[in-house]
Amino acid sequence: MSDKKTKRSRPRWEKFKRQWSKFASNRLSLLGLIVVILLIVLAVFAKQIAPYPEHAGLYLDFQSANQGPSWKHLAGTDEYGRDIFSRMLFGLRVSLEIGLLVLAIGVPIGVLLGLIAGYHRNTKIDTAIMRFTDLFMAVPPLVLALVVVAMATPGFFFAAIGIAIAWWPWYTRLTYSLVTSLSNEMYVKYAELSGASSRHIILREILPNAVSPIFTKMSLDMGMIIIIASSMSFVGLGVQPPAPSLGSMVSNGIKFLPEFWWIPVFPALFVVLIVLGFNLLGDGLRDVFAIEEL
Amino acid sequence: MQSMPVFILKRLLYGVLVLLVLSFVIFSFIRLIPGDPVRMSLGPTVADEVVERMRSDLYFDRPVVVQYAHWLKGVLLHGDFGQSLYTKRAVSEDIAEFLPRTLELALLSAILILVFGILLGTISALFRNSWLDNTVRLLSYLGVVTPPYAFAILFLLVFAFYWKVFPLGGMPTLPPEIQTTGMVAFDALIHGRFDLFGDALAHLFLPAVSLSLGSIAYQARIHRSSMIDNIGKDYIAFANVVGVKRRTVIAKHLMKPSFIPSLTIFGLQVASLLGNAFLIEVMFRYPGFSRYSLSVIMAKDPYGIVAVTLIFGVVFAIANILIDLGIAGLDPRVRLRTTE
Repeated sequence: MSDKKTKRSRPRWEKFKRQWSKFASNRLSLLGLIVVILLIVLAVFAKQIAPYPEHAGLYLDFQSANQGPSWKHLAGTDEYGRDIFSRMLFGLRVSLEIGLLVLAIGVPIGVLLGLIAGYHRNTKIDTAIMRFTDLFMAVPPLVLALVVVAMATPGFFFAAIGIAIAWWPWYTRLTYSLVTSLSNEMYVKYAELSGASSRHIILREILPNAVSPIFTKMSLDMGMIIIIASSMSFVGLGVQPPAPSLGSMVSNGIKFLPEFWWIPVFPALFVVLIVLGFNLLGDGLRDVFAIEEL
Repeated sequence: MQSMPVFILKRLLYGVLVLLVLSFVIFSFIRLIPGDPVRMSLGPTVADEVVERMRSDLYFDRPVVVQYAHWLKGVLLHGDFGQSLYTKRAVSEDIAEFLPRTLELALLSAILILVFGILLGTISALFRNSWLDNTVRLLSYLGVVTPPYAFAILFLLVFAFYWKVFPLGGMPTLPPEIQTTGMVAFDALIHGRFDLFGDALAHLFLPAVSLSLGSIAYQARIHRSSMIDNIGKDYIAFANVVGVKRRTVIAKHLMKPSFIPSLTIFGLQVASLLGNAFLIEVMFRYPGFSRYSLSVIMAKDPYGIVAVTLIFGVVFAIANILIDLGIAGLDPRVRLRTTE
């Protein structure tokens, strides 16, 4: 029995090894992977790694306020004397959480609707779903997200909901176009001829083959979502103080330019690093899976 | 059979329909916000009768469908978007004051994106794998991953604080007699006030560059890869073989088809441009529509929020229709498809 199992899993392992060597041959993709892993570790162990974990929330120490970068405070301190580096780590955690939450809400909805619409192409179901999707694409995503948050309460949760509402249509569109091309594959035709239910065809035949482009898009989108989320806290409608968020750290720091430049500059640079990591990783995945439409 | 004007008209009508449905959805949701927006705007000290009168003036005491119908009638017949509870005046007045400034900023940024994105992409593609190409590619990668507020900080530090060549922010107000369109630099220019025009441009420069750099980077990447795709096409090889001049090949056979994916992507750039204008206007204290929008959103001003959504939707839709027209102008296949 174990023999049978290894036989079945070997091609998959071989395929993975092939894809991995293709991925690893590009040093930039590897760099992206390393950066992302490092960021995840930093975010998960923020409490243990941060030199001053208590500075994440409300904390006042005016004596050490507005100090420039030093070995004691790698990124300096803010106007309340809080260690900016520690707050950046917690801000990173919040950013990744929002990104994951947006994807966790938006991707299943988007993919499911795309699958249904794509499989029932040129029917009323298709029209209804795609017209519904247009509704959410009629306004620029950041504007829509801000309006949604305005109708609820500003904060972590509704910022994620707002972005997800503006984001899922892209997954519907992507999945729709994937399904359209996959439906013409022979194995789908065979499944249809042998009388498989449409549920079986959508979930078992089409979806597994649409996974890698969707997954790649998620990696590429993570960076974009983090920028949007930080933009929302930048304008005051995202994560609320005293919770640390990179966007609000930047926007609060602007008034201290140019004397205390480190207050906004390091959080802003950190956002660049996070997005860079996810984009390099996503580009690497895209090359491996040879996906052109992303 | 469908001719181009009919196609455009259909697109327009569909766009209007989508925006109407969206505005109704937002209208209904705003009504669901707990708390009384009128009471919130007038404050706790105002007498109940006054609040009640205002509620009924603004149709807040009627069913949402009636309120929406009343509002829609106002918009369509008189361009009246209702009363802003935040600025305490007609939303249409606010739009007239703030929107032109944002349009001016967005138009300038859009021009920068198209010109420099395509220029850099072309250079990169024509000198593929040279140091020039590698520099452009590295810079454009960094440009794509950098949020607009980071550019804004960088430029403020370098060009406003350190070198003091550009103002920190804001926008001068023109004397009322030369306010024709509301676009400051444009009005100064058409009235021949070059001193004011220069001042307005100086105020526009850093916001516009911060707003467009990320999109320039993205546009350059797309244009580069689209040109490289086309360089490998048979008809380019053929044109070269039969001895068409290199300049002609580039200008006529290479540039034109390469614009098509670029323009398609440009639609997305417009979306991020309009969204990012929020950040840039806050950063540079630019008195535009995005900063106004942010205020009404924060204040949960019902008519303000609906108007903001609608205006951004209309601007976005118009930009997309223009882009489609551009693509149809470049791509005979698109033109033929619409006339089938």
